Amino acid sequence: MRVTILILIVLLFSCSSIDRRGDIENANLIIGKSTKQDVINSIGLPNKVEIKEGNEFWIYSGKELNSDFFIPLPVGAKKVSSNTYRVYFADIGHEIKYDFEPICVCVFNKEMVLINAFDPR
Amino acid sequence: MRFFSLFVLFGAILSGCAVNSANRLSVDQSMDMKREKVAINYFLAEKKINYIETLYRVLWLETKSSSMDFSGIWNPDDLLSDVVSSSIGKLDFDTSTLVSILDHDVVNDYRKALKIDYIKNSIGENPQIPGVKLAPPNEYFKKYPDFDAFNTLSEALLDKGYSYLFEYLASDIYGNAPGYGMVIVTMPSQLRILDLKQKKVIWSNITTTHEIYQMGGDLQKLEHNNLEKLKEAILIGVNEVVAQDRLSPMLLNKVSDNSTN
Repeated sequence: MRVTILILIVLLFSCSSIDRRGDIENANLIIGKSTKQDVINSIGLPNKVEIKEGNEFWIYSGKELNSDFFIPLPVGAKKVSSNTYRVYFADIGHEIKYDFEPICVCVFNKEMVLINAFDPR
Repeated sequence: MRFFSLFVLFGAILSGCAVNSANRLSVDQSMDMKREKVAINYFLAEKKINYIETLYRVLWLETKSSSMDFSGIWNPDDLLSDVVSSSIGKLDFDTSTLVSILDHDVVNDYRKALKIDYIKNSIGENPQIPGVKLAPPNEYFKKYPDFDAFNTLSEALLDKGYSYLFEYLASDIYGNAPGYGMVIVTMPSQLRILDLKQKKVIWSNITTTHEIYQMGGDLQKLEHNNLEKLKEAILIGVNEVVAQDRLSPMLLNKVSDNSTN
């Protein structure tokens, strides 16, 4: 029973590989030394890339753009044979669309070295 | 199990699409093409990977989606143009990539304009991923392009003695984690051959690549080691699409057949 509950808890809070807010908050990047590859290994690819005045800006929101919930709710049952019932479900889930809100910007020079990293909020 | 069944069904539908939409060059067209020089262009419109992952939350399922931009670290256009050129060359066509024929500025101008044209003709926004445009409809790829940068490119190719342009076009890449630890990388694509002298599309074919990895459902693993797995998946997929045994029945048709566009 305890193992089952533990498995259920683990499943309930299982990590998302799209949600990277934790990685961004705990990133250990060094201005003037870290490269694009270091940044990818640490916090992954950015959501957007912009080029301004010769520098490259990698913009991260750290979270999903859309979240869709499928929540099946039993709404009825029909007996189809002596020991079989057909159960009907309704999906009461909903969809959440998030606005793109940058939480981290990494700036690289032409040598692909990190020259700045900041929270634009 | 439900999602696995859906995945299998999805794969079957995709395979079905590939078979049903396949058409063939006529023997004459194939012979004409072999007598002329063929330029090759691989083009990925958006240097992005769109992620979709399904998370099991005991009593419900949650599907998250996002889009990641790899344009700052990887541009596959030239590398994969080489791969496609090499494969088509093995079918006895005289092939060269765009960048080996023309000035980089002409090629880049064309690719930038093609991206704009792609977006302009998109069938709409992906309902699952806000801000992500879907590819244009199939009819788009059967219509001879008509925009300034293409006309410039076409004239430059004809001046260099190239009468045909073989294009491998993809809108973007998808990374899907549907469960069971799987990560599936797909790239919906269109292949087409343009006859630059006749100004018409003589062949087109819808296709897709899909590679499946067991990564514990972790999409971020595609990005590790300089996008190693992502690059591998795309390279394997493109090689399979342009493999000799797949393309030769369509491009080297030995049976008289007028079922071209």
